[in-house]
Amino acid sequence: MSDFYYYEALDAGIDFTTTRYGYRGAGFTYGADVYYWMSQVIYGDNTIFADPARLATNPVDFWLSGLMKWMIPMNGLPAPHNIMLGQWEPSEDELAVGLTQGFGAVSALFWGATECGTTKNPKANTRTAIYEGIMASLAAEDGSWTAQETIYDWEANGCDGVRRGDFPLGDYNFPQFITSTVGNNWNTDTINTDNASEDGIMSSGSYGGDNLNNCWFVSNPENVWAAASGSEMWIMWQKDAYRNCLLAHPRFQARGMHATWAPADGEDIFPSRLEDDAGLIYSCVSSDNVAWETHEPASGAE
Amino acid sequence: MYAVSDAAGRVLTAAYDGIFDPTAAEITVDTLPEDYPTNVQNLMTFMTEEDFDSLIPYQVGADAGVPFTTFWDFLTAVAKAPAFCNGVPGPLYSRFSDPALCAREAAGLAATMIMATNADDASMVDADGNAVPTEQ
Repeated sequence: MSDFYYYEALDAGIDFTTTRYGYRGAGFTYGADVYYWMSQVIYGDNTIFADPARLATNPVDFWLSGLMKWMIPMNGLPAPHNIMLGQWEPSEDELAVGLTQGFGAVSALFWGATECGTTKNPKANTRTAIYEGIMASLAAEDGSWTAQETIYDWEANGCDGVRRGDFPLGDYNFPQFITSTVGNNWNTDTINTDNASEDGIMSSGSYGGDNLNNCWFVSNPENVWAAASGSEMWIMWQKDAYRNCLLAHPRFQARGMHATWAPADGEDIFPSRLEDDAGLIYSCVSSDNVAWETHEPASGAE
Repeated sequence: MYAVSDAAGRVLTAAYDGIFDPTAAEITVDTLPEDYPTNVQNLMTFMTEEDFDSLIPYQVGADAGVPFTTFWDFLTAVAKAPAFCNGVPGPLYSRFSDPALCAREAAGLAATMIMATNADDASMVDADGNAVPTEQ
């Protein structure tokens, strides 16, 4: 387990002597990192990370394990949902290994290195047969559609035509983790700046690698942690991930922050109460949301 | 106005589809059909509890591998993944109806899960020794 997940587990009070992140659930979830992000994506907290056995004992979480794997692109690869709905289309590299649209690409996504590239793999053949059998049986009662008609002639239901090996990296290979703190080691080899958003801005300025304004997309939580231990991290598939990163940003936690907001109808504004300890002045917008006003601190005002 | 490539547009759609909703209400046998979320409604146009039980034989029933989980547990999980069976299709598939695409996606999920939970071998157990037949 890398430092990032180790310390997240410590913070969550997880006992490593009794907690195991083995295969569980309909998605055969495995590994502390997968459990951690599944917990964040589905529940927004450590519910599953702290109690991974839920995937084998909680009847809903058992299925959520499978749906997480089905819906969420991980490790720079598309998810099955993306493949089945055409949100993924094969790149040139992917076409070169025989990938095309269809359920066969889902098999190649998970088992390309062990089951594809042959017509004789029993597991791959059984999976394809199950898929084709179900597809043939599904249709609207009124005859308005059949599942079968959603399969184009050029699609592949099996992965026998895909060269055996790992699924190539393509359009889904981009930084997926979000953080506000990467520390002062940004320019070192610790972090691959090629994989971070706006790295040019990050590496400049009198604060070295400090990030004074925004949250950033990075490719590797472990590397960020190595450069700035204690960094908070979100994954882009998490609900409100970027928003939550910004809200946790030191910039938004400073009392002297300049803020604007619209007071509710009938609510009075007392400018003096908008003063902070440093005497900074806040800008306000009137309740009709039209006129902008700047309030100076009123000396002695209550 | 920003322009993005076709590939980037598809990935952005995927980002939208990937959001789970942990607050989605539990679905039980007593939940009214009109209260089902859209994705569950799409699924229920072609899948019944009986269909589900026959597809996932080792997940239900007194003698099955995982007697603790049912069709309604599955629907509750589906409700928490709002884009499953209600996603935004890419350009190639946008001409198909939502239920038809739901059927396509559900068939793929079922085939994957059946193999992953290994309906052919009810004796397999999970990491905790519980009766959850699993591949690997």
